[in-house]
Amino acid sequence: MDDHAGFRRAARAALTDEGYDVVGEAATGAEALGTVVRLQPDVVLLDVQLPDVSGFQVAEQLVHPGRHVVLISSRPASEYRQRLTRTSAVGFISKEDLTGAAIEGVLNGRIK
Amino acid sequence: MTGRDVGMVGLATVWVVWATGAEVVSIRAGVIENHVLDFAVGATYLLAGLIALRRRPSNRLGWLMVTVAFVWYIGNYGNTEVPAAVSMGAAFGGVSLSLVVWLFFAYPSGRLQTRAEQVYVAAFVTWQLVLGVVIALTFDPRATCAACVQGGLALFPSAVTVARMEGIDNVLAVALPFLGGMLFALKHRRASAVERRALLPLWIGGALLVASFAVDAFIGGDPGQGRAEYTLVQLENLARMAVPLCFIWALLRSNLDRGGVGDLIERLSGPIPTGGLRDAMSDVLRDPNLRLWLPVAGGWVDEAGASIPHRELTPGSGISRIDRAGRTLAVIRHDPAIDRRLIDAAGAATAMALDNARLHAELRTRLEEVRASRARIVEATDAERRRIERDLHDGAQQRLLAVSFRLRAAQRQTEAADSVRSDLAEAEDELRGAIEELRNLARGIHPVILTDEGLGPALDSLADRAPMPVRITSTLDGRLPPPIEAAAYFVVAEGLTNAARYAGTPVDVTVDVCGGRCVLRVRDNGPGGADRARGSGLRGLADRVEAVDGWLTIQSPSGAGTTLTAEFPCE
Repeated sequence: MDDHAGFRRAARAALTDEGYDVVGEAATGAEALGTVVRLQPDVVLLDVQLPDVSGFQVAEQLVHPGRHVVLISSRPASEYRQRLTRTSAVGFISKEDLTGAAIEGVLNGRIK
Repeated sequence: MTGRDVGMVGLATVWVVWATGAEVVSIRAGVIENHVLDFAVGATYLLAGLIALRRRPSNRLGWLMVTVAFVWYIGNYGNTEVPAAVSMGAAFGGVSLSLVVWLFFAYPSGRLQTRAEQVYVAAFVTWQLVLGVVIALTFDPRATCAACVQGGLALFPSAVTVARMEGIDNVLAVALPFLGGMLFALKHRRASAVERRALLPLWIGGALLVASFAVDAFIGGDPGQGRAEYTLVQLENLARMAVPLCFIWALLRSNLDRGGVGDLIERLSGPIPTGGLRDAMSDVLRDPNLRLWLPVAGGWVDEAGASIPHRELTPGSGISRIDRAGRTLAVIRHDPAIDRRLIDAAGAATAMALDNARLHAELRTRLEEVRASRARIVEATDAERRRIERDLHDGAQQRLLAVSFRLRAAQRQTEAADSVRSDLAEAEDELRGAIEELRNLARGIHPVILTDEGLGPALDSLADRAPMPVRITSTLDGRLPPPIEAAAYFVVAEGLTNAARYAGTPVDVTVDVCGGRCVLRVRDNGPGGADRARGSGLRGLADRVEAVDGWLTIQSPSGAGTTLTAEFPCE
């Protein structure tokens, strides 16, 4: 979920190359909620800075048993200190570090 | 001597003849009366009336008092044995009392202020006239006294009518003073502080008058017969002198107050604190609610330089301009009862101080405008910095990230030659470096954490990224106004940058919020020697801090470390 189409395309290509099944995309918070409900993905990569609503707020609504929400941003984690400690998302990955391994790391609880 | 003065002398001469004649005929008639006091009452009215006519020609009190001085003696002429004079005395002898009541309510403006007062005074005058005329026409002492001689004309003698009129008069003698007292109490309640001070002697005179009426009504009988009635008449006479005495006293006090203007000059010769000029004028004019406004370019301000809405200065009663050489120095709002000449005297005495105060106020206004303008510039700059940071983040940074992903994907192409993969890896590294630099640049422009989470987390984030250990001690709880947070953040950021560049030692940062002030200190143990005058960074930082009403100091003795201290208002 990211409002920048170019980044979504690049990320989709990179993750698909790594063997992930990218089932959908969304550009806004509202769109993200509808897409997730419709497609029921296992993992949601959610940009912190969406145009209509904060990614932290969307994350609280997306959290569901069996679904993992991972926050992403082009800013470093140090820019979201307090909110990262309070979020229900499983982890945070800086966009430049976004790889399949990084996602696995977060899901395995190695990065939080 | 002006024509008016000649007229007044003539009026006084006529009065002397009229009053002396009235006393002489009364003595001849053998009526027991204190003629000196009687003469003094009329003389007091005449004197006060003439003074009033001379000093305040537009005030009706002057003519009213002169009229009382003449009417006062009509009753005396009733003591003659001339029937027409006796009838005239009976018919109009009571009018002077009506005029005194009129004066009580018209004091000090000369006008009856309310409809109730107008009705009351009109009723009083009418009743006294009706009673006097009817008695003069119907009273014939021979009807009840065989030995009596005819007094007045008694054109329509009727003992029944006389008895009825006296009955009504006895009721009104109680009702009218009672009503008058109530109306006067309302007048007092409505009056301003200055007017109340002027009305005080009238209360005493009014109370004496009402008391004499009450005793008169209780004792009854013919005034002038017996010791009690005699005393009563003297009491009434004294009470009726209250208005002219008040008027004379008011003039005397006005002169005394103008004497106080001299003290004003002395009082204003030294340094005058803000608001001191208003206080001094308030004291001299005896008006605690006095307001003072000074003209500045584009409007009006008080002594502190605060703008005043123009509507408050609408000319009218109680608003006076103080001018000098055709220029308005100030406008005051004051009790409308204050003598205009006293205001002029106070204005003349304070002219120089007013001009100074005006200049100070103008300076303060300009400074305030500059301060506000500087604060607006800083706010606009911060907004612009936030926009640039957002644009970098949303635009260039996202595009570079997308390119980085593409480069990474290209490296994974198995068919690519090793040399190409190596070039791609190098390009990706360069790109990551560029992204990192861009990110640092954006954060330096305006860190999003400061906007989103506040000063505390933003300082923690700064400390985490600093190349040397940073210890933060803070009593900060919650958020501060955004301009204060931004200024404080950049003080610490600059302090840490300088410490990293020149000191390289651990840095202590303390944030102390107490009593509406926020004190920030950044201390390193480096070589010191920092000079705000030589570094544009520190100079700009000081400007930013001062723009939010704070101040910044730098202590940086050579060899003893550097301490940046900033203090802000934080409420």
